[in-house]
Amino acid sequence: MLSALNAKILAVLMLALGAAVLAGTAEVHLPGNHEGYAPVQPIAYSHRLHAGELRIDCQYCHHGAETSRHAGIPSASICMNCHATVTAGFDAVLQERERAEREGREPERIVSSELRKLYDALGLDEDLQPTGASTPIEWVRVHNVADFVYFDHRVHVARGLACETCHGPVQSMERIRQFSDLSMGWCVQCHRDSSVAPETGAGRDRASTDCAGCHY
Amino acid sequence: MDRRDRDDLLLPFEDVASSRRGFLQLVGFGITSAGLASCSRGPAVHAVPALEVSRELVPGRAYWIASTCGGCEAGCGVLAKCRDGRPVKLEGLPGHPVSRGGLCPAGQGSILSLYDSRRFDGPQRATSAGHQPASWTAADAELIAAFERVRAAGGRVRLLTGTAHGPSTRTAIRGFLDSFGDGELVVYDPLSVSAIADAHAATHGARILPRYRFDRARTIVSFDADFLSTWISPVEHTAAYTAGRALDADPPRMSRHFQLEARTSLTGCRADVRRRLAPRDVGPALSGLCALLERHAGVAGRLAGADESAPHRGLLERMADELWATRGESLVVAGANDEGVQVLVNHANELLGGYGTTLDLERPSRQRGGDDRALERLGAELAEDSVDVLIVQGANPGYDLGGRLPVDRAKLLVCCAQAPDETTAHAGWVCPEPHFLEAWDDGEPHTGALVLRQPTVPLLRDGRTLRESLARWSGDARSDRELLRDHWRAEVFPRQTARSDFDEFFDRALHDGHVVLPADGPRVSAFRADAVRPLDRAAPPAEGALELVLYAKAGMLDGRHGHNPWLHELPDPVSKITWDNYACLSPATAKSRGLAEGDLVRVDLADGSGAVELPVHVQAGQHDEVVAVALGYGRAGTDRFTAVGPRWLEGRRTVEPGGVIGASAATLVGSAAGRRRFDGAAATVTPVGGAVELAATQDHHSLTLPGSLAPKGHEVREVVFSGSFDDWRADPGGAVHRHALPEDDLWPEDHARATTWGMTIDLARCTGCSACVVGCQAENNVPVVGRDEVLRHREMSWLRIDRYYQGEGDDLRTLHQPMLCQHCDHAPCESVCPVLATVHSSEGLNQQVYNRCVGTRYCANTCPYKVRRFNWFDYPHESELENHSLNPDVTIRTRGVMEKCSFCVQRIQEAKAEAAREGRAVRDGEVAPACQQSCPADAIVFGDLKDPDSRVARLAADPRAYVVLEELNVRPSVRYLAHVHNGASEEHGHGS
Repeated sequence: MLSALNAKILAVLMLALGAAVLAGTAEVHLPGNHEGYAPVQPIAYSHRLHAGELRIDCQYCHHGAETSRHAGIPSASICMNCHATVTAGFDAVLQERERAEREGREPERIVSSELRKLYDALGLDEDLQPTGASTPIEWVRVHNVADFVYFDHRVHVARGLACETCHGPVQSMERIRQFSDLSMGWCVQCHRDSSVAPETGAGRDRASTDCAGCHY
Repeated sequence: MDRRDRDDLLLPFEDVASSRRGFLQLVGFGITSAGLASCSRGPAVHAVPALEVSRELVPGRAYWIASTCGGCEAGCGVLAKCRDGRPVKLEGLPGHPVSRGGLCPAGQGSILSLYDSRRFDGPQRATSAGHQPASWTAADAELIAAFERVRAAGGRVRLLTGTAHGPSTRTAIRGFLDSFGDGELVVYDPLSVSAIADAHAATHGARILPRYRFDRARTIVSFDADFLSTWISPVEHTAAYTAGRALDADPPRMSRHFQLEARTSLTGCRADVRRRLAPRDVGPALSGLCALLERHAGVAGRLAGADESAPHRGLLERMADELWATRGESLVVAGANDEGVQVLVNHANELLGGYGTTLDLERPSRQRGGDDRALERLGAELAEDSVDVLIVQGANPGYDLGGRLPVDRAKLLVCCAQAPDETTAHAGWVCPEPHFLEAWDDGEPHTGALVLRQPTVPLLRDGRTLRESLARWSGDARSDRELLRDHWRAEVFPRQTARSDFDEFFDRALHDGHVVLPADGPRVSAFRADAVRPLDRAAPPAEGALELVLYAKAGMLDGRHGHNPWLHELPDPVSKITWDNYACLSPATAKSRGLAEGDLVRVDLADGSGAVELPVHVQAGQHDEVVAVALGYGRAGTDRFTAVGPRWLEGRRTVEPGGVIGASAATLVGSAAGRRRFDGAAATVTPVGGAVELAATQDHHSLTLPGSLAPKGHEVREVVFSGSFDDWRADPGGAVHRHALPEDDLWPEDHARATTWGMTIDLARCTGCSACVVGCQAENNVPVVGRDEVLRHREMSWLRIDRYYQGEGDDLRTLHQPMLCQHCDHAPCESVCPVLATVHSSEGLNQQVYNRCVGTRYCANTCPYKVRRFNWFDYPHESELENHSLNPDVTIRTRGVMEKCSFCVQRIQEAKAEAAREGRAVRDGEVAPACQQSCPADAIVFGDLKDPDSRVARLAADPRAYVVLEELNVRPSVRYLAHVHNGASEEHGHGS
């Protein structure tokens, strides 16, 4: 039998435990809300570098956003548009060039460890020649809406919505993170507030709040 | 516990923490917190993009591939909707020379056979332990060696196919067979119309099948030909037939259609004048008709006096008068596979000047190329063990011919089939063929009208077309695509002058799915009247015997779709029965023999050559001396459907393990003058005791109360309206009974809508063919529930076709009405839903929100149109492969959720998204629900009712337009256009 004092101590301890567990997780959410989800990806791709520093347009890689319901995760062949020549960070290349100059030899090709993974996936050897053994890259999907929702990127892009409105400051994210909670309340709030310029000619000036707009 | 120790801070926990219960509560809180926190971690869902970017294949975006349907040999054009590298839906190909944009139920359903897990994967070699997989290299090596031995020995090689009108395949076959001393191609059709070609050989000197132009006919007389449902090219005929009955044309025109038939066919249901005629009376009636036409034409024919004793003489006179009055625009057709009958048909058409207008000999049809007499010769050769090699492709003689062709007596039997069937069981080698959606192919449904087929998906199962196999066996290593292209470069391209570059020509033909070459029809001789002979009435069957009529059902056809669950669960358009075939008897015959619906009987051929045991179906409008049985059932291996439908305590299987669906009537097909006979054989019908319940959907979801349950003097609700063409001309809206509705509105519109989606269904165009039903099923992932669930009124179809009878026997009038969610403005379902799972959209749609629905089923009970369907169970697919047929644009509903027609809202959303992308408004006609897209008769029109210029709004304003159950004032968005027939005015009526 617990004494009253012990009981109080225990109660405080249990509360503390609960609070600690809650606090231990960076953010506290209801089930289904994955805001802040930022899983480790198979390749440490940096949106900060590509979208932020290098200012590559989002749709250069996520070209489905304009034409399809899915923005899509780019094919490795899109990476190769640049990374066929850019094989490592600029610093590493400069260092190698200096070193080569000092040692009086031709600079060698420097391949960063992360890009090596890309080349392995595409089945490219040291000299970026195909070996024939390719393995697709299994990215971890960050943004998942519920199964019974049909979200369409193409309408939102066509209506002039900036990617950052929903995806947040991607240009500053080293590793991609879910910015919005993607809940129905969050969707509907925006649909209620938004007015679309009438000159798009779609015959309506507000985003739809019909159930069948997303659920069918 | 000492209350004085109370510490305010701990007050809420004071009691709880001191007890075991409280302790557990606290621990629970801690664990739940941790659980909740961990819940917020995202599930690791992987996304694997393709390594190489593809311009065509954008994930989530549909693309369309033009091809040719392989559901039968009619050669209709299809557009395969593909998503993420696989086809998910077949649509009609607009502008196609055969199908004009429509499709039939079998065509709609044929996509499911692509994902059939039973298909062969690579060649199979017969061993003592059954078929064993082998490699193509091994198969080719062994077969080439075998062919070489036969070639050296001058042996006999036979290639048995169904109708194969593909020019490249025909060339390959000819080349292969010519390399043997005695090589011959034998073609047969399970549903043979061989006699029509034979009759033309007799009267026109060329063995051809004319192309019937129902669109040009003002008077149509059909003897037993079910041309709107199963005969030769139903989609083409339906489109043409409805084009000849255009009320919107200027001036309005409507052909008059006489149907004389033994059973109640779908075509008979559409006829303006329908009479029952036993098969033995077809010859005498046609002789009489020809005699009357000869008299009109002033020709001293050989038939003089044949009309004296002909049955239905009064009607024959009327038909002859009307046919003569519209001569040049008259058409006579007959379904009987009897040369004498078909010669008389030719004679009638010749007298009426139909050749060149309603019968096209310039571009004759190649859709049925079978020759029954060649088949008979092959049978004799096989019986004397003189066939060294028999190759079977595109046919299943082991089933179709009821075991009468001894295929197992060929020394080497090679089968090119997709899946195990009754013929492959005997095969020494199986060289499987790909599904038509996986392969390159061509076709020539009408002479000079060539169609192309292209792959929509890589081979799901290892297979090879006959063309490619024949090339390999002849030492040709070209790929199938090269074979086809090279043939087109050499043979087809020079026949046209429109394009000078072959690649451009071929790509254009692929894009369009077809190319029409300048007509180069066969030369026919002048009509040879000496072939015409009057036909006498055959002796009536012995006392107590009936005449047997074997027919095909829409969807199942000759049995080639016997493994397709969609088509098994499709209610027959006339009997409304699913999952079975049956022996149809007229109500009078059934009554006089004391037989009721479902009683088991044995149908014996009087000559003892075949028998089948079946349940009885009492079919209104059938001839009293006829028993009609559908072919295409009892296929081997259909016990696979034992797994269809839910498993639960009271659940009964669709078929018992080891059993088959229905019973095969192929053994009852007779033979006369070397041709297969489907009607006229004498048969006895004997009860064998016992009865089964037939899974008919007719009395399910009825809009009216059954008479047995209704209170005395209850109101009879009018649901379908019909009137004659003459009355329509006098008063276009006269057929419709309208109700005075209150002006006051309980729910005044609280906001103006920019758009109201609505639909019109023209009952004067609808033939009841049921293409829309299967199209809807494919588009909307509607599950198959199995026979037992259908018996419990739990079929899931969002769109059904209600059938209404009026009268009986010769006076039977039948109307078909597609019934789907009416998207009522004052929807009763919406006001009873306690959880707002069904609500109205701002565009007039009645929305069903699956994730809100808790399954009270109040809405289904209150729906006056009975169109809501409840998921009593989850209905899993047979295999994971079959899941690929699901439309990714539509949610799969789970158990406990209500569903119903959504007006294909996914297509509306797609059109709106595309319009937004292009910065414009949605165009009229841009949104076509699956039912409208599939309709060969153009009976269904969808669009914005608020747009006064839209096609649907103009049709909704037609005087014929009405809403079903108007008196309920629920304001549906679906308008029906009253049926108009071209019969006599007194035949005016309405079904209810």
